[in-house]
Amino acid sequence: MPYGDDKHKRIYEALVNTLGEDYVEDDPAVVEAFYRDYYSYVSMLPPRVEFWVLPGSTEDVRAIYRLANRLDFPTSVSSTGLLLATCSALPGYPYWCFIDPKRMNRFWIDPENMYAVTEPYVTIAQLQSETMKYGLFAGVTGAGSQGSALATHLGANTQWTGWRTGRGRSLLGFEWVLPTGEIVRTGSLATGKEEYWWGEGPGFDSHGLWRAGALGPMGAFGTVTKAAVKLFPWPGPKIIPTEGVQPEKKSVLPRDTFRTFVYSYPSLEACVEVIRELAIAEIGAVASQSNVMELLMLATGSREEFWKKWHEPYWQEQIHHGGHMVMMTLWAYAGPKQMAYEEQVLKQIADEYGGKPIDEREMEWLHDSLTASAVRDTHRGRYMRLGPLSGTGGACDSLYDAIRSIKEGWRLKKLLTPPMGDGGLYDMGNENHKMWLADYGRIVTTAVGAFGDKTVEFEMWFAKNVMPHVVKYNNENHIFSANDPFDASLTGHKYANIHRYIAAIKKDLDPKNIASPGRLVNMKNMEKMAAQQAAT
Amino acid sequence: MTVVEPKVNNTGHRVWPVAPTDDWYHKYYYDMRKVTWNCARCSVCKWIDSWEVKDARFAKVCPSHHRYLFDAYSCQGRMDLALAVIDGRLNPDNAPKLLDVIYKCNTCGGCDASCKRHQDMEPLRVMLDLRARMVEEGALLPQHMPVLESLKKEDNTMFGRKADRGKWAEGLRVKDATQEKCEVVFHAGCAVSFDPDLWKMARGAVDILNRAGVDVGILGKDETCCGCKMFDMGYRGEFLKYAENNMDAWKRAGAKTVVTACADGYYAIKRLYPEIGSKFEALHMVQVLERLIREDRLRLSRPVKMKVTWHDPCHMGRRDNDRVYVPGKAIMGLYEEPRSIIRAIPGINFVEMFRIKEYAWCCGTGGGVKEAYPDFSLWTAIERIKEAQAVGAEAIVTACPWCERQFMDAVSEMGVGMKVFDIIELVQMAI
Repeated sequence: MPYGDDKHKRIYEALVNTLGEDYVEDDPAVVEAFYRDYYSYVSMLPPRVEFWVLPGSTEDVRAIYRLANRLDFPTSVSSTGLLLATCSALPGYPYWCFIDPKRMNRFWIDPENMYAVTEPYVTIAQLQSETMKYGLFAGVTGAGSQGSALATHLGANTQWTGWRTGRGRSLLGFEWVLPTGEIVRTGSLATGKEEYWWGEGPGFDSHGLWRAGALGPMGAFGTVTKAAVKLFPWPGPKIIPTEGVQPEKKSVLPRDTFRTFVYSYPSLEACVEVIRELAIAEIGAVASQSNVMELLMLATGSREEFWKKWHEPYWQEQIHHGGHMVMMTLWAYAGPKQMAYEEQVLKQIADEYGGKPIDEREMEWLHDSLTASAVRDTHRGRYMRLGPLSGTGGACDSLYDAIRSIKEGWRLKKLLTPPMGDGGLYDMGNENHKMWLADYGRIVTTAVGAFGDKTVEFEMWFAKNVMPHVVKYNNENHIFSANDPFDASLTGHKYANIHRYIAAIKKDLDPKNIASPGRLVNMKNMEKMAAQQAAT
Repeated sequence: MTVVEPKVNNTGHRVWPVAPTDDWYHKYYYDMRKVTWNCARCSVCKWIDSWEVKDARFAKVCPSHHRYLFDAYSCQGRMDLALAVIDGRLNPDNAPKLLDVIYKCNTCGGCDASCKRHQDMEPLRVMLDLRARMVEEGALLPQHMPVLESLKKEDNTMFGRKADRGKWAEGLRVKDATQEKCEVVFHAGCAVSFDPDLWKMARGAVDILNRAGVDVGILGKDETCCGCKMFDMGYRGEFLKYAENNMDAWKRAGAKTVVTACADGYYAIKRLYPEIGSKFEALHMVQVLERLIREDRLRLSRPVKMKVTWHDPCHMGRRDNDRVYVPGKAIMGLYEEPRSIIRAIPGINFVEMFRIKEYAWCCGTGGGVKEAYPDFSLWTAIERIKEAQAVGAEAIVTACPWCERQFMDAVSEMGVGMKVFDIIELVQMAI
């Protein structure tokens, strides 16, 4: 255990000399809070974080990376701390130092050019609250509005409004500290002026590196310390209206401008056809293929209420039917005529493919919650109170190919699920599949999930037995895993050798492998595989 | 911990349930370890509800996390700590800052409101129980010792002399509840009794009760601490002792109702005392005032030309809830009463701050923070004054002497002209 040895002391002193005593911690009581997340099994894997540092500027981040290279210690970076272990905090490295940019919480808005420049510790809710004052909108990801605006614009940026505004296209110029401590300024920033209006170039476009998988490179390429994000028109009020006290709080957006519709379709294939038609018609600001679990989770105030609704005959019918639902929110950017037109088009398309609107009374109950969630997702984490959600499927693909991965998710789920009603267990059947749609359905991020008990035993079993199925299937069918190329780096070449490409870049950007070494690609494994190949 | 056993299905595969078998996931009940274990680190506890964010500067709800930034100083971090203590991984010997992290929290419950909304869990209860556990195990925060000494010697947390406790009421026309029977006892509380700047508020309260014809008395120098602070600091034994003292005194006075103008006192009498058998009706002065105004027994006729904002004290706001949490039930407190009183004052311009009601920013006094970490405590109050300034208020109005003292100190420290009023003073201006 290196904690407290000479090297630990040297690193601690160097970090304190760089950042000041207030911004470096190694006390076990303080670092205890930085190893665990939703997935509890991570907490069982030693060792823990040894250092926790709070840089206040780009220069501080540079200095930390330089120290890490000089003194040879691994680093991870996380801003809001959301999905900590999933995204960056993979245990297993001695002298592990966590870079937490909470002091980097500045942002400004350029309303004329419709972008905002933000540092890592500014949440989506914070950014949105200010952009809305200018009639502008920064989209919210499925992770929730308490997530970092900058971090969620890196990676896939799978937003509710991505249907119209795209996936990963809202990132403009940004400032990036490489693991070596060098600074890269992209897009128009590269001109040397404080101009953020353009993101791509110069030279090859580095944005692709930051869109790796659904979660981005998770600190493996360094830290983005400042980024400009594109803003879009916001047709709503300057402040989100609220009424009531939690958990009965409501946000009722004006229905002449915002209306949500949920239709149930005979099959997943029908959903996909409908999505294609909706895209051709270019209607709606928000669209996704949804499910009963999601709808109820967003609208219910407690787990008791959730299960009560879940067991109501209407929702049971929907669940047994398969929950093939498409949700669309119309935003009347141009006024009531646009709303009337889009509503008409939506109904025509739904009719054509056998869509049935969900029960009027239930829709009325759901409406405001769904509509406001798509604007500022504040309930997303509610699913966690129902138990830990484990994915039996997840991919990033084209619209039609997404059907394949969802069906594989169902197959796995069925394999692992007792027959309906067996032992009084809650069987979610094929329920709980989701398609996040971007660029009018051109890119789809899929997820199929199942709830289990939050026990280390269950999670370990799941990780060992189910995840390899998902990875194997995705690789065999040339489907890009929704998470990251890490899977590919373990299994070898399947999907366009993306892991090799990323590993080569990683080696150049981070020769000592000090930035999130357990994430994105397993460099040690890659090197071993390369050596084996060379030997044969 | 529930261990789920796999079953073998009809195809011979080992299978697991796809929904939890643990009934905790279906019907919430309080279990300290389950709450900590199921904390998902979603970070919602650090912020006011996303829908409520109206201004980026005023979006945080947790003073401790806002001040100290390390996640350990947030609710989710403290859940990790609690888990580590429960599981025996951490103790003050192997983690020197353990008590520092545990006690640098105002126990304001802002995180609790967010977590209940999001995850149906009660992290504040975990934090309070964790403190009680540390005290039971003899792990005491040294900075709290003088307060305990003061309490033991003088029955108050303010380092004042027991004999001086009733001075605030000198010359006031009010029954001595130690000598005479009365229907209502007015409980002044420690903060008011030993802070002459706050005496006018208590005197005003008694004056209004008298005017309304209420049969009211006070215990004077025989009044003791309500115990709320002790409860929040984890000293359950001390809390119990003072709660029983007070209840005995009120019983001897023949009182059925206890009125107080202190949020801490109100919370203790209303929410904690019934757990040890209290049958006394507990009322805060805002409830009395609101009722008197509504029934036209108190007329507010003189205009008060001032732009004011209202600060919701934690103990009469989001913490004023049933101690047994009912999932799905609103996190109610005395939110509407003070607002309706202020709106009833002619000429007043009432403006809300950004963080209100269940998401109000704490004044910084609670949980023993003022005594142990005065700088942090004052910083928290300054943050609130800045918020009041941001909405253009000339005065910040509240209904808790602890909050008022904090704001007066903050205003003095900042050197700004913000006025601080108790709602009783505001009402007196309008009578």
